[in-house]
This record gives sequence, structure tokens and C-alpha cells, in this order.
Amino acid sequence: MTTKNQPTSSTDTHYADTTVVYYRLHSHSLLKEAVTTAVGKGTLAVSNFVRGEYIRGYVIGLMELYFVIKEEQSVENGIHLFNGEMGTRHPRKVANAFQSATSWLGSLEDAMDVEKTLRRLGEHIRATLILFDMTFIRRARDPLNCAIGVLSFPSVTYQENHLLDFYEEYQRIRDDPDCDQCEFRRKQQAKLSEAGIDLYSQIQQQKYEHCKGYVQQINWIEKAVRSPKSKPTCWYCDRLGDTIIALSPPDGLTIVSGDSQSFPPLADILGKPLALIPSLNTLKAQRDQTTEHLGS
Amino acid sequence: MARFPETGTSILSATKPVQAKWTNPLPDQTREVEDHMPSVDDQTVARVNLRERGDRQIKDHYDAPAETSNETGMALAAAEKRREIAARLAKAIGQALSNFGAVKMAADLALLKRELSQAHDLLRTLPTEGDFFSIVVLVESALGNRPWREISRQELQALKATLDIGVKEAKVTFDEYNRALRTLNASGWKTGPTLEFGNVEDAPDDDEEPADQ
Repeated sequence: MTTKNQPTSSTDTHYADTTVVYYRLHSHSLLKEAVTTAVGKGTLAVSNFVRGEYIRGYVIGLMELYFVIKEEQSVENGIHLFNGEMGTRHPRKVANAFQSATSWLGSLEDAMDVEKTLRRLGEHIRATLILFDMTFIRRARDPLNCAIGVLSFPSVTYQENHLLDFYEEYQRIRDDPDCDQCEFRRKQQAKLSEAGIDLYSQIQQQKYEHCKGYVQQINWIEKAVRSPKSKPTCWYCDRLGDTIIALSPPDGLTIVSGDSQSFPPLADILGKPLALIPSLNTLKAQRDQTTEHLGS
Repeated sequence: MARFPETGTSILSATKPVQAKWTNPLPDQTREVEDHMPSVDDQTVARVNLRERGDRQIKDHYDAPAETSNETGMALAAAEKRREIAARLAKAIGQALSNFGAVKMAADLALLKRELSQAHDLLRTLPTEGDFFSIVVLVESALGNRPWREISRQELQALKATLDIGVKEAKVTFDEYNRALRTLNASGWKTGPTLEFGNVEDAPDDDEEPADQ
């Protein structure tokens, strides 16, 4: 089911990237099964950076949808305006996911009733983090100490104010992040240089030019390296998530990802084992082939 | 304001916990003291603690000011109303169960969805029943747009057991909601949308890092 850069044992500890989180929590059962197969008898760990990326990518997007519907006092207008901005959203991979979410919301009973839709959406937002923490029990250390990654909702009766408080705290962190991003950058640069690893040169760019996700990561890595900033900024974590996740796992952990555009080159260059989850189309084709084979 | 290391939805420990006024208290520390198992040599401690707890309960009721009694009365009335709503919903899902596998089940599910949606209008007026309201929304979300023929009897039974919480429990709290969410997910229900993802291939690299503030 998976492509591995290096042979790994079924009892290894695996390190999930954010696609795996989406696959386990919100995707087609074939993708969910593929993750289970990839992990085998091993364990799956998630860092709080990945939890933060899930919050930045999905949870906050849903909150913005919530409040645009509320302000518009119209489910239809709110969804329309929200979907219109999808092209500029980071990470852009998630843009399609929001369209699935808005279709789901629109398919529920009395979906055009603003109050009902807001309650459903608000409850869904809160439930996503409960399910995240329920599904991913094992944590790997987050070397960036991302403050967004530890945001949570209170375990009390649902209130709309909880969403606002969460969003306010999220914005406060983004405005003045207090994390170890700069330290992480410095340490990783030293480590790569010491090990003689070339993460982003022109040669690597040419070698992996077919992997557009990696090529894009290179552009942003170059910007990060040239950046005169002395303070952390979430702007880079929004864009360099794949690279940060690939650099983060402690030695010996196998990265699990569904991102075939960024992770194969990153894992290859860094010499880290990778279990790549095939795309849904590939999994469906494999399933159909198996069904046909059994039928004949 | 939104970091709740001890009592939030997260199992994590935040580096900088914030004590906000609406943060949950730590889990019932007084009870922990009361429920502390005394040594075999000192069995009277448990009896004293139990008696004291009973005394305190009586005292609490005895000393309750008028407005508290009124609030308690309203909460009891709300709980009664919630039981009625839950019973109606449980009956609707029971109907779907009794017609399981037949064409009639499709109509039963449509009626159930309408009942669930109508329950919003009633539960919205009962602030003390917010956690049962959350359970109703959870069941709605699970049913979602799932094709009726894909729903198994066991899954329907799990939904019924979830709604029955509102009939059986004297008070429905966040714990019941939390358990219901976990139980439904464990029994195979998806309580949200199934997402599809795009590729990064078309993403332009057109933005520049923001200036320092």
C-alpha cells in the first residue's frame, strides 16, 4: 500500500505529517485504511506543530466561515464569500477540503436556517479538536514549541464565545509569536551544514523538478534563509510546514505522509525513512482491480 | 484565553497555562479528598466523611436563597422538557430501526432528520440543556448526507443509545456529550464531512514575507 524510501519495520514508530491527520479524521475509508496499513504494528506519533498546522489550516478556516455566515445572516452568502477566497488560502491543499465541508453543511436539514447551521458548524469545529486528541494520543516533541499547536477549547457546555476566545488567542499568537522558530532555523542550518546535506540548491531543484511541492518549498526556504527577520513569524510556518515536519522527527522515526509532491525528495535528501500513502485514485484503482480479480 | 491545559479538549500540557474566569475548575478536588480510602485501622474516617457530605447536601438545600430555588426549579423544568424531546427523538429512531432494511426506513430517517432539526428550536430556549443540544447536533452531523442504505442496524442502535442519554439521565453534562462523541466514532459513525483535497501544483509563489511590526 505504501512506498517507502527506506525499508522500515512494522513495529517502527511513525511520525505523521498533516495529510495523515486529515486522512485519519476526515477522509475516505480507503485512505484511513492505508494509514493503518502503513503504520502496521508500530505506533503513530504526532507533534504539536502538526496539530498547529491542522488548527491553522482547517479549524481557523471553519471559524472564518462561521463568522462570515453570522455577519451575513445568510448561509448562502456566507459560503459564497468564503469559497471566493479559497484561492488565496494557505495551505492551498486545504482549499478543496473547505468545499467538501460547505457542501456537507448545505446538505443538512434546514441548512439555510442561519442559527441551525451556525450551531452545527460551531459544534463541528469544537469536535474536530476533541477527535484529534482522541485519535492521536501519542505525541512527538515539537522542536518549535508552536503555541498554536497547544490551543484548545474548554471542556464545558458549548458556547459561541469559546470560538471567539480561541480565535482571539490565535490572532494574538500570530501577531507576536513566542516560539522557538529562530532557534530551530539556526540549529537545523548548523546540523545540515555539519552533515553536508544540500537541502535546496539548484542541483537539487533540477533533480526533483517534477516534484512541484518540493520546488515550491525551495523558493520559500531561500526566502527564509535570506530573511533579515530576527523574530519568529507564522508566515513562514504557513508556507514551510512540509520542510519543518520533515526536519523535525527524531532519528529512527519513519515519516508517514500522503504528500507525494514534497515529502519524497525531502526524505530522500535528509536520509529519513518515509511511508508514502498513495493517492485516493490509486487506492480506488487497486481496490477495483482486486474486486475484478476476485470476480473472475 | 483559549489554552486549557488541564481541562480543555486537549490532552496536552500547555507551556503557559492561562487561568481565565471561565476555565473549568480542576476535577473535583474536594471529592478526591472525601473519597480517599482510609486505612483499615481507621474505618471511621470514611463514615465521618460520608456523613459530612450528607450534612452538606442537606444544608445546601436548606440555606438556598429564593432565586437559587427558582433557578433549580427552572432547571428541573428544562430537564423534564429535554426528556420529552429526547423521548420523541428516540421514538423516531426506534421507528427507523423497526423498519430496518425496508424502503420505509428512508421515510423514517427523513422524519428523524426533521425531528432533530426541530429540536434546535426547542433546545435553544433551554440554556441548562446545552450539552444535550450538543448531542442532538452530533447525531444530526453523523446522519448528515450519509446514504441511508449504507447505515447498518448496529450503527442505528448506536445513534439510539446516544439519544437515549437524554431520556435516562437526570442531568446531561459535557461528560455525556464527550462520551457520546467518542462512542459514535468508535462505532463507525463519522460526525463531520468527508473531505477531498487538492494539489499544490497550481499554487503561485507570489507573496512576500510581511514586514516587521
